[in-house]
Amino acid sequence: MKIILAMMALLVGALTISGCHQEQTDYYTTARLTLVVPDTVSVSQIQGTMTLQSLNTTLSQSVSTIHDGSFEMQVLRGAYKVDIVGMIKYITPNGGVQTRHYRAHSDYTPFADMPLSTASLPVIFLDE
Amino acid sequence: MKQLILHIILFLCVATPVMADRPDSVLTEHHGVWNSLSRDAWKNPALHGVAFSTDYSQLAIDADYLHQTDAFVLQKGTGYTHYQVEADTYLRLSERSAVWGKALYMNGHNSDIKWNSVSDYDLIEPYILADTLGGRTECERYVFEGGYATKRNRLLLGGEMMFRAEHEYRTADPRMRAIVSDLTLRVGAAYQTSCYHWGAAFEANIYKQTDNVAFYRETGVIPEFQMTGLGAIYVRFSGEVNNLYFNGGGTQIYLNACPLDDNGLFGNVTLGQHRYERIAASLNSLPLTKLYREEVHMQAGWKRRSRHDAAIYAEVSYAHRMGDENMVGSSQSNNYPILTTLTMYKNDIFDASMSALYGSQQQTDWYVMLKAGYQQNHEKYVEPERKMGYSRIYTQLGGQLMTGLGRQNTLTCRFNTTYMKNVDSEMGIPMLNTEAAAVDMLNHNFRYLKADYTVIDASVRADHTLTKSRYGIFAELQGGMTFCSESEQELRLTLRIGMTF
Repeated sequence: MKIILAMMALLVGALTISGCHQEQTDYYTTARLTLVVPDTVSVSQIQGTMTLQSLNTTLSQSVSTIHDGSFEMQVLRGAYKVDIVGMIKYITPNGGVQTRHYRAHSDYTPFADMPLSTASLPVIFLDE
Repeated sequence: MKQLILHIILFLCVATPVMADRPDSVLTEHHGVWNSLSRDAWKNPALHGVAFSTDYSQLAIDADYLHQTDAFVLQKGTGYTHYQVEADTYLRLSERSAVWGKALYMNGHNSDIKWNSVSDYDLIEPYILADTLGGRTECERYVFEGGYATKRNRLLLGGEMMFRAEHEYRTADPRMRAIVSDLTLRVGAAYQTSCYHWGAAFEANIYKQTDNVAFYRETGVIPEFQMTGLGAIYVRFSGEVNNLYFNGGGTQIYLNACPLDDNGLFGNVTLGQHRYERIAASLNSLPLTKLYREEVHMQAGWKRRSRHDAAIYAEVSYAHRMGDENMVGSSQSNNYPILTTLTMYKNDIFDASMSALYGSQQQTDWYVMLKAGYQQNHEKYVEPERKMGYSRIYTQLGGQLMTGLGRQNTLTCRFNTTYMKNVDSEMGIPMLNTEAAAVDMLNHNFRYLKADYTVIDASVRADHTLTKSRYGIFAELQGGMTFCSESEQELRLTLRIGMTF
């Protein structure tokens, strides 16, 4: 009888330890994307909209707030397609002020680190 | 149809006691509805070894037909026609030991399956491969089972093995083909005290399914979706990733307390955990999702066998299913890094019921069973949030009558009626973020999840023992109807003929 009871306790214990699956609930991270502008350009003002599209779910989210050339957004951890469009006002090497449209794009950017996940993208000027 | 079945049952109930002889004692021991009280305990092979005192073997040929006027669950189709040959045996080798076994071959087809290109939908859903077209599938199944139990003084020991192989395929585009192998090993022990058998058993399961979908007509190719729950689709790997395999398995333990003479309190507890991983074979064996199922089932009650038999018992089942999705990075040389794993799908299934059984094994063997219960099922997908659920109450009235007709014939009649009433239901789906066809699928399934059901089943079986022989022949007809409050029905028919020895 004692053997059976010990066996029962052992079986229940073994199943409890091995069986319970730990849920992975760290769903969200802060995705910070920094725009990289050419060294020859001194940025005086920048604005734009960043759109992240999840490669897993195809859901899109956008943000238009930019601080120090970086966008930040709470996203589900995973891989994203990034699209940024906006305008940039900068001082040229010869001292002039110029305003131009720009865009930045990436087909694949992972945002998976916790609690902050960072990436950077070069801007592409669209018009002269 | 409903009235005809009721008339037949009433006629048999009234007429048979008048002309009744005692039914075959072997048949009453092996087919009596009283055995349903011990089914949980007999999953422990050590206790299955003392389940019966007589030998019984049966070879049967079945034809099963099921048809729904509209699919209650699109993924399961509108029905099936299955033909099967089945051999079952339970043999006592001595007073101390017993062996049992089963071999089965089934062949047939399933009708009008949609949104499902895999086998064993109930086991691995929602992580399936699916398309909107579907169609009829052909299927075959092989089952082999065998067990042995022995008794050493007060210690009972037993072991059994169960193997199932399935092959399901479609002969028109989309040509799904799934091959399943499912092996279960179980060992058990029990200790006999003056009044009780105290048992414990351990079960290990290994499961594998390979699954692929092919298109022969180049112009008719449609996307195969990697479903992730409640209409969500893993878009990145949907389309042409049609080669999958599922690796799974798990463990289960059984604890039992059974009164020796079927008089007294009894209880059974089952604890289990299983996991099934979906792997994309064509992407260098990339694991996409993993489904976890943890479950507990408890049965406890009281039973008494004497001139009149009676039992009352409660059953509670709870299953918690969780689905982990792998967030996959960019491939390098066809190697995909896994960025992170998130538990995106959650499903809780609960069922609680009270049952009472009353009957007698005198001149005729008759039982009446009453059951009332509550069940609920809630599913949730985390982001974007989706949820679906229902709660229902149900009552069931059943009965069995076994009577002898002359010295060589035994007639067994069973009936069962169930009424299920929905008490609560909810569905929340982000329509804009869901494939339009998937929304239609969810709406269709939800229509039947929140419905009320009336289920009626009846069966008649006639056994004839051949003169001066241990062989017998039998024929059995089972029929049933399910009436759904959504004005749709399900018809079930089974014809079985065979021999016993």
